Amino acid sequence: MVASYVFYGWWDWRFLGLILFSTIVDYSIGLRLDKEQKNSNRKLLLGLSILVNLGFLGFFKYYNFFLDNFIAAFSLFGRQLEASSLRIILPVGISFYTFQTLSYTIDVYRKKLKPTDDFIAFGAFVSFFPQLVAGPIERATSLLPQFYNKRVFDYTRAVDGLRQILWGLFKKIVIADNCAEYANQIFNNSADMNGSTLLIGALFFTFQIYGDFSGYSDIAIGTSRLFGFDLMRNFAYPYFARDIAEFWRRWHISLSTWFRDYLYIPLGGSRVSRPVAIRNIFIIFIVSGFWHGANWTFMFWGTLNALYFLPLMLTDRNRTYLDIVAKDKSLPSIRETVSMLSTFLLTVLAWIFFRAEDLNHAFNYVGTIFSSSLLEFPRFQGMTKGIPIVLLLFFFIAIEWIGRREEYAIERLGLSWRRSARYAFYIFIIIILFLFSGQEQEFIYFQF
Amino acid sequence: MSKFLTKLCVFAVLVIIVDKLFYPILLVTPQLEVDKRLERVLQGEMNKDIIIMGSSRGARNVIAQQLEDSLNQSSYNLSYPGSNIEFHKFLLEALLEFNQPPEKILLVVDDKAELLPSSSIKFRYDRMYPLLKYDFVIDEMIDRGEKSTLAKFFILSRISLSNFDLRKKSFGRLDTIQAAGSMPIAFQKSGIDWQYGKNTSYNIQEEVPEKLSAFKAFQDQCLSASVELVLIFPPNFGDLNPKFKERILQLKKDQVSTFFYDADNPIYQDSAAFYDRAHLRTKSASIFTEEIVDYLKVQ
Repeated sequence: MVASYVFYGWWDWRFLGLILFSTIVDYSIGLRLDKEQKNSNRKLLLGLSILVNLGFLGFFKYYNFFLDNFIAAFSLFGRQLEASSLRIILPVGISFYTFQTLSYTIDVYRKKLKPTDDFIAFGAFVSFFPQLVAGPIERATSLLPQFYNKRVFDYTRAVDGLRQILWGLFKKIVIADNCAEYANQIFNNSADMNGSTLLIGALFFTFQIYGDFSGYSDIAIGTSRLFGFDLMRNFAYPYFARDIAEFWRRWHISLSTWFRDYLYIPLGGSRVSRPVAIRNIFIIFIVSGFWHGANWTFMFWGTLNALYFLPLMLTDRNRTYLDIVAKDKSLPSIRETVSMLSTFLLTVLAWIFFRAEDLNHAFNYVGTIFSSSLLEFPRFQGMTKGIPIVLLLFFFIAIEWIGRREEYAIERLGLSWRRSARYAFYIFIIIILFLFSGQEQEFIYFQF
Repeated sequence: MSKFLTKLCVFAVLVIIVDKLFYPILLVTPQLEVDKRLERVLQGEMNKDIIIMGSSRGARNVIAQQLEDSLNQSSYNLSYPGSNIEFHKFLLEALLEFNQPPEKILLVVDDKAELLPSSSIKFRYDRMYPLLKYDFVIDEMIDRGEKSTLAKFFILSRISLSNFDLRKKSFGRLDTIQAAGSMPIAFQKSGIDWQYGKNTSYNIQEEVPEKLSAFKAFQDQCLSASVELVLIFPPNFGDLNPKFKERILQLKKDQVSTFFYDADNPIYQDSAAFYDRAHLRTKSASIFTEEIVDYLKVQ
């Protein structure tokens, strides 16, 4: 717990109080929930926890958004309201640890979990440094009991952790940071670019966000493993998904399952009338978009994904692909390839809204892609310098494809090789890490 | 645990050995360069009486050899085309660190991009990449966030992909360097709209804070090293921007002197004297250099 607080305080010590307060509130409410038998009082306690946690989240993350939109809405009716936005610093990782503590209180309320009276263990669970700022969003049922156990060093697990950290660093430093340079350049100057260039920019961002976020998750999971903790898997090769439903089972798994368990199912899930089920789908995707940030672009991104998902749900095909693609084969069939590519392109289109500054920017961006300039030759600064990066992307996709049956791509890669060959492979990755390290970029999900 | 730590150490040693295998690249890359001016500074071979610094305006418009011949003082032009005041400050630091301080430094200022955002003048990292074996260079790159701190310890972190290009570098006819470091151009660029310019706009609010502080620090460092600093205003094909002039004079320390080109000289209103709107051709650069000589003689 001390290590986690030092880690977080290194960024901004002032927000340590926020985590501590959240921890104390949920720890106390958890204990009270256990003693309280009266249902109405239990509901009140749960409501208090939700109010406190979402209150902080709402203030720090959404206050200015609601204020600005409130003023804009009034101005439509000819009323000009006088209010100024606050200069609010968004505490890093607030969306992650808020959801983590909420899951504890809800599980205790549902009696799925006995509340802990070990404050240190609970405090360490809330602030566990490897995943504090960008997930995976852990459940108390899975992570909290691990703090009670005496930790015994496990050689295999530690080596596995280091291997996953190495792959996470490759994804972040080589793939994400290099793609970011081009994605930023193209998105920031999109008005002057032709359709083919904008498509390339969207592709770069698609790999950037995957490398950035899944890379962080790998580093977090690997680091935890070194300390003897198992975190949940957060990504399972989402770009090999054959439809959007499969994509969402493979992308940011800890958040998707959080919304499934604590929002979608309580709303009735899919076991309700068709209109209500459709409503539920929209709610979960729009809320998921809103979770990412106070911007209409995120909500549109969520809505777009709901629209992608809807036909699958309406035709009962949203659970067609539960296993990994080409599980017993080396290469996918033509049909699988077409499915993967079409899903990937739908995802690329959705990421444009995620990355754009505002909806106007996004629609202009998409409009230019779907114009005749798509057939023009792409033009952007440093295009030839980008060729090695494209080759690295192919290398990355190939390794991910080879390792798609594992938790992470290089989990078993090379384990059957001679040690010298295996070490050479790891050193090769380290060399690439140094030589191809892109311009340092902050993790995208730190802002959420 | 001990097995894990042992293997980790073995692996770390292997990584360090592999890392050191890349050291020859650091040694080879400086030798492939044609422009060895910065390396000479770092090796302490730049002990001159007069040093000229600036961007391409300094490199093209001031002939160091002519200064040397006329003033009988050793002179050298350390101006880098496309470089900004932050790079000039770095050069000055290197110059003062490894060499005897010059008697005079002529800093050629860029009307009006000296302190404003500009895509044509920047910090010339490309001139530093071939010289990554020098700690002074790597320290600057770390300070500026171009390299990570790991570069202090790992060769792999120091070098970049450009270092693997082991072809001998060559210069185009624009970049021919004379023995005393100047880079004048004899010909004229085609396709220029030769309208005599009168630019009077200058917005202080747009100034780049890093450039501003580098400009101030440049003066401070010269003064503390007892180097006489002269700010040189070279001609453009157009009038000198009065607001820019006023701004530079406002930022100038009392002990720093200024030299303005002779605006009455009709040659500067003749497009034939210019390579493009901002750079003189060799002959007119020689005339401008003569004006500087006269000024320095009187001084």
